[in-house]
Amino acid sequence: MKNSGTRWGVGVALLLFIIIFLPLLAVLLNAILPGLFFGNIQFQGFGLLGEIFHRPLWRQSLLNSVWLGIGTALLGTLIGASLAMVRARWNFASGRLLDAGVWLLLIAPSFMLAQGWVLFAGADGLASRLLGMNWVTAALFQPSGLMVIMALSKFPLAYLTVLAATEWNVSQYGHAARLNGAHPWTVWRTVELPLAAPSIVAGATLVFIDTVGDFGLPAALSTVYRFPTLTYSIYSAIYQSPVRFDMAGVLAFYLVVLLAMAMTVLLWSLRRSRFDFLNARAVRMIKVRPKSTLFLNGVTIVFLMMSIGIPVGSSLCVSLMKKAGNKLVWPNLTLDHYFSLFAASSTDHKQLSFFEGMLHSLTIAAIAAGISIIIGFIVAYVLTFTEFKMKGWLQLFSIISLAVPGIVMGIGYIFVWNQKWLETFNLHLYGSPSLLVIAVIAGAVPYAVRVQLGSFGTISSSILNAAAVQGAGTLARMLHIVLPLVRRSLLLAVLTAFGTSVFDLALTSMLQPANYVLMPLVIDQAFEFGRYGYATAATVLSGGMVLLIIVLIQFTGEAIFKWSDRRERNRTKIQERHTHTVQQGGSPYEFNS
Amino acid sequence: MNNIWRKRLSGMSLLLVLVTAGCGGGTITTGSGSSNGETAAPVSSTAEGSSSLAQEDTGETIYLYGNDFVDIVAPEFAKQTGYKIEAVHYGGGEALAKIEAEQGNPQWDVVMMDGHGSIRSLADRGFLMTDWTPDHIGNLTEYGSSLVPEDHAYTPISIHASAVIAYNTNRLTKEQAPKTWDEFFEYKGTAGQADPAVAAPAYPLVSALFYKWGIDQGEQRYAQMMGNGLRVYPKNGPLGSALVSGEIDIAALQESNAYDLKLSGEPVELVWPEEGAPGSLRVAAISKQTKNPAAAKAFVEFMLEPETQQMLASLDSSDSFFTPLVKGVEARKERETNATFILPPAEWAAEHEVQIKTWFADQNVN
Repeated sequence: MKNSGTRWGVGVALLLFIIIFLPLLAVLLNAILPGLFFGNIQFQGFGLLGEIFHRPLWRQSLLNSVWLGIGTALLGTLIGASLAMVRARWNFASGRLLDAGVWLLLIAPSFMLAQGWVLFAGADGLASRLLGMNWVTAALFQPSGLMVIMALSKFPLAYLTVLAATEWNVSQYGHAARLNGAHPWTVWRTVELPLAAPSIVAGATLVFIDTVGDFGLPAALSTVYRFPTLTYSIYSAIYQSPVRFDMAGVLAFYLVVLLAMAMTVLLWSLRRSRFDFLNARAVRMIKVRPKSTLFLNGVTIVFLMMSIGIPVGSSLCVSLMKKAGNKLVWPNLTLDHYFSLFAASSTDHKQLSFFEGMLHSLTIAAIAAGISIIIGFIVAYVLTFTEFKMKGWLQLFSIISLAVPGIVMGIGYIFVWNQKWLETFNLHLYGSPSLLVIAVIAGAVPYAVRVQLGSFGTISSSILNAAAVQGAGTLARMLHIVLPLVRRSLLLAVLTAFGTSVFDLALTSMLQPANYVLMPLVIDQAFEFGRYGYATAATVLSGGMVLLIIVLIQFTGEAIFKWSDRRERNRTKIQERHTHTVQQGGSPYEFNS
Repeated sequence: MNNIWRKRLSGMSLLLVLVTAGCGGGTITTGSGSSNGETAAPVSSTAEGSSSLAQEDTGETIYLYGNDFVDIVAPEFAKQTGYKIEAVHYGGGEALAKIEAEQGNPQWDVVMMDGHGSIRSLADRGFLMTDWTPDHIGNLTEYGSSLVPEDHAYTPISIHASAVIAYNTNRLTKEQAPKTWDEFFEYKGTAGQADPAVAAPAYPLVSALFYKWGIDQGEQRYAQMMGNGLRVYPKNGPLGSALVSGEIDIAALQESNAYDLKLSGEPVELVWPEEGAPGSLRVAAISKQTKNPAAAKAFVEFMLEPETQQMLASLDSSDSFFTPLVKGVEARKERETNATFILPPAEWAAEHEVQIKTWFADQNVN
């Protein structure tokens, strides 16, 4: 078992190294060896790394990133953790809505949310023109305002982390304390909070990582407010002439340093707690029905209205308005923007074809989701059930693409995959959709791994050991034992990976094959050229379609599982009439709980 | 018992990338094939008069990277000459980033974009085909001919204003609006411009003013203006919106954006300063490593034809606001008839690009 586990581990680690770590390394190497990938090796020294303390723009970008990350992590965790604790403890009507909303925010691409916020709060936006709230622009487009916007978009990571831990850990200790006469508040303060603390730290770290590495939100927000962050300065270093890949490398280096520090905290808190975010746990706390749910429902709905209602609502409004600046009245309403989605031809670069973009993006996301799930399954298996020595590296490789911005990965991919010698092996993938697929897989792997790790944690390794003793190989154990037990979370992982892959903007804009239309580009181009109607209609329709696909697959999957469970149960009943067997069909997926 | 399978599968996990590569390889042809369909001409028809040149070519599709007109010129070129061409639209910065990132193995054949300084810099670093003179070079106007570089690394196609002075008519009267760049920089209210680090036309703007005033005085004036609260927007689109909404009173706004807003009835009027507007020269250049030089050259010749330029100058979009550099072509009527430009020499613009952009970016930090 040990050897075979190692083989699988080495294989999958190598794969992750090639698709995730190598492109990142390529960008970082540029800081000291510019020209490395152009056949011109010259050592530049480490001098450029120190520049960050001298160049005001770089220093400011680093500071902005750090402050934005910390502020968002604090605020986002406060929101996420409080909602999660409330949700884990009490049963209230809007709870399901909250779960659905959190998933929606998690897979919604940040540039789409940002577009909504800009349409709402910009000087020309809905808040001032429609609602007469002129103060909104000044209030939101300043550092603490950005933190609020970011926190409202990123809190789901903290929510899911804390929810997973709170639901799992507390019951028996809490009950013991209560039996000894402790007040519920005392129980929460002295038992539940300390137990949840590692998960809160982990949640905050994840929010920090996601905020610092995010490109979509700062990029869109800086169209109205200049607030250079590291990712944005990398973007402008790449897009200036002569292009400074070495500068991008330096900035990427500092970004990676920040993320490495955050990740150390994350791994430390991981060790201290049995936690995993995005998971599907079997044992759950029984929720209490509070005396009055009015307050809980009120708070939940207010948060959802702010985090989803504002950006999505603004996009929806603009997509239905003839002229975005005018009032929301009958004569100004139209469905023309939606009709124009189907009329546009792909030859206009300001208004790319919606249909083509949707088709390409869905196909790529579906392939990438499928493959990333297989990779995620193997990674989670190796991490959970084997004694593979390099587990730490595997952990790192499997999470790093969550943290490193797509734009950095994008350049790295060009460096690695646009080499002449690759042509002789027919592996010159740059400029072909297959490189996009690989890049999207790299982006989806962290989600695939995390979701599956969560459910793998619930399986006792003794079953696998028993199977191994009986002579079952690793593959047989994976297919016949683990797979049936985790199938629900596998479905969830596929859907998450799919959802997060459809709209990956930064990567697609770097790696897009010539004139290959993709959904995020359709939206981004139209938005950039001021075609807000087209951009928002495309956002609303494509977002709706992706959501519909996810919900349909979810329902179909559940139905198939139920059907196969019933069949299995009937068969068991016939075979062993006297034995009462409960078939465990895997961990219940909590989307609809 | 499952040893063979086990080995095979661990091998397969390694080869997963390669497998996807193989599968994807199939899609490349279908993908680009379908989009080629609209632009590519039948393979059988070869270009007239260039059949001897055409023999150097592989006959494969050439790639044009451009920041304007790409959607229009490519199909027309393919129709007229029979060469296969795929035009890809990028912003100016994006096109340059792509060209640089691909330098190990260039995927482009022709680039056509604004900013002769950046193209000059590419030429100086050996990216471009030099010492080839187009047959149609004589079509250029006198002004156009004066902009042709000695080594013929690029060919000037047209010129437009990277910025004119635009003002919000709800906030300023014609008399109050600045008439010259000096007045613009002395304006006491709120003003805006695009970011030279991000927007393609913004470096031509900044470099023209730095050239006009000299670097020291340029820095001094900009520093003063930034102290007064000059707002810098990443691109001209958001800059225009800010002007319309009244967030700023005046803007150094790209010509096409300014005319676009004015003609669509927004409260925007523009001033073409007498000393000239900072010019943005559109040029076409050929990759030194192109495998299809005949087709690439044919494209440059095509851009120098009066019919091509007239077609572009007659488009019903703001892209058609430019000064054609080919004789016998009429510019749009709605535009300033006596358009003059401040245009630093390409060498100067290329030489000072890093210095000016770095200075600007570091000043402009909140």
